[in-house]
Amino acid sequence: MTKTARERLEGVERYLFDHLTEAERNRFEEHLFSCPVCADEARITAIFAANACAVFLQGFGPPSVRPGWSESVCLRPVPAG
Amino acid sequence: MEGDPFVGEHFSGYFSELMWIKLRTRFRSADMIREIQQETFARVMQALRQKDGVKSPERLGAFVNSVCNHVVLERFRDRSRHRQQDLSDNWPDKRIDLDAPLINQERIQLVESILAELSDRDRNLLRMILLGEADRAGACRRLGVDEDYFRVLLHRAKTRFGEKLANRKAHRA
Repeated sequence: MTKTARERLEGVERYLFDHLTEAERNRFEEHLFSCPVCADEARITAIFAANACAVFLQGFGPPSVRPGWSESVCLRPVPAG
Repeated sequence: MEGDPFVGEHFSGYFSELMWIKLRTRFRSADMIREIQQETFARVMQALRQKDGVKSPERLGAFVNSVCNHVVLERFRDRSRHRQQDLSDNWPDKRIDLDAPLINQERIQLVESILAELSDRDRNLLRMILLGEADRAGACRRLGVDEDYFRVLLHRAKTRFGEKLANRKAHRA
C-alpha cells in the first residue's frame, strides 16, 4: 500500500466508522463528493461492510446449511462500552 | 449540462449511494434519508437547468454536497420545531432500512466468497469489529494482532470485493 493509498483508506475508515468530529466529518465530505477515488473507496468499503454484517448475522457457513437471509443487519459498528 | 440526460443518470447512479452513506450517519430514519435525497436531487436538477447553474462537471460533487447540507439543516430546524413528532418518527431502531440500499443477494454472495478465503482469525476479527462485538483495539488485542493488521485486512478484503464486483459488471455489459 502506498502512503497515499494508506492515508485515503485511513480517512475513509475513520469516516465510515464514525471516528471524526463534526467539523472533520464536514471537511471530509466536502472532499468525498469531489474526489471520485475517495468516493469509490468509501462506497466499496461501506458496501462491503454492510454485506459482511449481513453474512455474519445470518451465520457464516455453506449456503446449504444456513438459515434464510436475515433482515436484522447493520453497517455502522456500534462502539463497544 | 442543461437537459443532459447523462446528468440525471449519473446523479442517481453515483450520488444517491454516496448521499445515503453520508446521511445514515445523521439520521436513523430511512424515510427521512430518502426524502432528503429526493429533495436534494430536485434542487440540483433545478439549478442545472438555470443559466447560472453548475458550469463545470468537476464541481458537481461539491455542489450536490452543499445542497444536501442545506436540506439537512432545514430538516434539523424542522425537527427542533416539531421535536415531539420527530422523536417518534426519526428514531425507530430499524437498522435494516439504513443498510438495505447497500445490500443485495449478488453482493452477499461475493462477500461470502471473500470471507471463505480468509483464515478463521481474520474472519473473526472482521466480524467482531464490523458487528461491534468489540472495539477495534479490544478485538485486535484478543486476536493477537495490531490495529494496522485490521486496516490492511479490511483494505485487501474490500479491494478484492471491488474487483469481483467490477468483473461481474463487465460480464453483464
